[in-house]
Amino acid sequence: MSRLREVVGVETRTILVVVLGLLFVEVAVRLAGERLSGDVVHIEKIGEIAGDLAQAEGFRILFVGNSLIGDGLDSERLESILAESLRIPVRVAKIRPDGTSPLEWYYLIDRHVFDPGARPDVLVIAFGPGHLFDRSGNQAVLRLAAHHVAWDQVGEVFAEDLEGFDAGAQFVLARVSRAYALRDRVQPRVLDQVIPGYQDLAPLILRDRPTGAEVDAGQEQRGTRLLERILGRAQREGVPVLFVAMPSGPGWVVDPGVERLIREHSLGLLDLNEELPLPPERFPDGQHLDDVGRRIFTDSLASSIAPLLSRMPE
Amino acid sequence: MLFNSYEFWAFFAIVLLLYQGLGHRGQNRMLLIASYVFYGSWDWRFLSLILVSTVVDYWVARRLSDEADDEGRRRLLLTLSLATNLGILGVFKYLGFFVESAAVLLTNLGFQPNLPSLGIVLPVGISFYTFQTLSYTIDVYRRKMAPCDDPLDFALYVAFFPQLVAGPIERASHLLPQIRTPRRVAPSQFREGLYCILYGLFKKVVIADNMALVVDHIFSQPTGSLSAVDMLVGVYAFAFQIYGDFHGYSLIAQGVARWLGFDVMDNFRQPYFAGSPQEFWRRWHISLSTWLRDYLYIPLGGSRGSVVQTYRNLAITMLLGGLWHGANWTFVIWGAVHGSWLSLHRAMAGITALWRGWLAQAIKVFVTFQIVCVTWLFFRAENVQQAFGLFGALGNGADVAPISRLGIGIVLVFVLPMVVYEVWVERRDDLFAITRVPWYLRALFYFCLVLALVWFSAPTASEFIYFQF
Repeated sequence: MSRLREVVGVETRTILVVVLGLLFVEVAVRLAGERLSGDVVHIEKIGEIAGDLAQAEGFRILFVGNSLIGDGLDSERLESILAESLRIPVRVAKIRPDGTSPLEWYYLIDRHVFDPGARPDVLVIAFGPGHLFDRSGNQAVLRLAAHHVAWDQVGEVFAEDLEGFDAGAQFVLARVSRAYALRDRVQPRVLDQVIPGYQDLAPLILRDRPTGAEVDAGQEQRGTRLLERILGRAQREGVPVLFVAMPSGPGWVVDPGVERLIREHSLGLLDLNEELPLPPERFPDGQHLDDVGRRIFTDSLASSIAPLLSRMPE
Repeated sequence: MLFNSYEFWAFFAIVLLLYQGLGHRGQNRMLLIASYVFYGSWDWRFLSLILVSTVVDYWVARRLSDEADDEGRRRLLLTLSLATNLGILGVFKYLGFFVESAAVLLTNLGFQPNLPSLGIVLPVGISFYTFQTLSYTIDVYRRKMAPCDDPLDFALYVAFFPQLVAGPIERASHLLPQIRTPRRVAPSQFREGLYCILYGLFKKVVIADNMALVVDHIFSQPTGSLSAVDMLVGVYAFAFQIYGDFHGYSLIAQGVARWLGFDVMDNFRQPYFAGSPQEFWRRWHISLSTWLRDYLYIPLGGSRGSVVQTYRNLAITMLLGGLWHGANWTFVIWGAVHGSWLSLHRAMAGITALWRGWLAQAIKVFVTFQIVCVTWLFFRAENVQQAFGLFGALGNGADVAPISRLGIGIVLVFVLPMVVYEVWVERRDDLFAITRVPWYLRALFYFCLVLALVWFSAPTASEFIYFQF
């Protein structure tokens, strides 16, 4: 042991300064974390959003999705159209952390909606191309660890969703360190300052690259295990689920296997991508709707969803 | 179990802990088991190939020593070792390529060959450990070293996990004595190992993997859609990707070995500061270039014969060096271009030597780097058609697409700091100069490396390029 101390001792001060520097960064990120991203602010408020909705009077609709529904849905407009149509008060809330998919949705719904008993009258899952397939890249692991998984869910994450030693190690590191967990938010913000247009252009070169999990699997994953878990959990809680395919431009159709699963185990599918063909100018970044697109989508969704909701049992 | 995975570092932590508590023989046995576990984690079936090489070469070397007076038998024994090792390499690495090339040739000649698609899986690191073990039998044959008397020590030399799958290709005369004598990790080895590991991880995870984002995107586009600028961005990014990737691996291997008390050779010396092809090969993948020099170029005659013979020897050495990298015509062309360039430069040596001074040196470095980048184009291309298609892109105008602007930004932001640091290392003429500056400066440097690893590693990790060789 003394020999080990003698060998490592030559760099004790160096290592100590590096560790102290990292601790300083950790504290700074924890203090400034919310300023790093509006998405983090939203994530911090998910429990509050679900709780407020559960306390609200009238018919309660909870949308879960990612930035597609975040940018695409005007909640207040939908509330007022539905209230007029159904002749009862309607409350709409959105849980829409950026870049998420069924893996994060499963845990955040469980943690913030079902576990505390904050059940809505209907849960609407809004999705875009490929969003309902199982995905578990590095980014998802970091976000699960930092934001979406409660302590009592950690066992389930390790048992069901973390494949391989590295995913587990990343989860533990992200659980311990905010600086590590928020790397995917720090990196684009910093690089955007030094490389003009980085945030807009980087997704174009990242889009075609497989995630770590896909590389491990040797192919793109097309499973729906996580979606089935969400549906099973909602069924046990007695919460009806409705799916909305978001307008995402031409060239995308809902996978027939996913559609079959949805129709068998939920209220149904509103395929607004097919029913509402929007021109490319409504998608300024190629994915998300602009203001006009948002209004068109909200109106269309209201007219599609109202008959379904009116047929729901009290 | 990649060096850039948490799994490897957990594995290494366990190895290091066990290692501290063992005596010399116990350390060697434990390292041998760890090396087999490390290699077996990719595909345990291929351990059998390492075992065959180990057993054959151990036995051949012992017999070479016993048959000291019978040159005929000694040649036969060496042939057995060469046939076994090159036979394994040939079957697993080149057979599919030759069958495919033969099928193409026969088809072009009007035949209808029905040759099977072999689908042979390439064992990780086969080219590296084959060359390593070959150097041992050749050195024993040449009476440059005595054969190893402990089969387990020799097995560790063949399978030593830090450099097993991607080098440096260690000579038996350098590594075996370290295995056979008791080791004590010196404080300086810990210090240098720490530097190697941190800088190596930075070069792989931050430099190489971020360059890979640009490279993979550009090289996946149809060549007709690329402008000259797009193509150049892709090639320059690849130049730094492959350097970061391979130098990163070699550094981590050195660092890990140093923490175990071993000294593994330097594999790179700022290769892009070379002012000639000869100098480039003295700085790039040094363990391979010196291997090719000692076991191929010099036995062929080196530069001892006529000018034509020297050029022929250079061409053969570089062609085979190219083929060593992979079973693809792109690597053959890459080797041929390097061979021709070495010959041409040799022919012009009288002229270039007259051109001296810092400006001349700067121009030589610039020109050498450009030619190296041209050769990287063949190295990276999926096939010969793509390589020539990319050359054709030079005539597609100089439009700077938004993606290329992004690529230029990524290359500059990540590569410039590395270049500045390596200029400093070059001027100090000391690869470990950072370990000799005041501790607080080193701490600042390490802090920057670690922060870059945490925040600026690429969103998707890539395998080490040289694993496929």
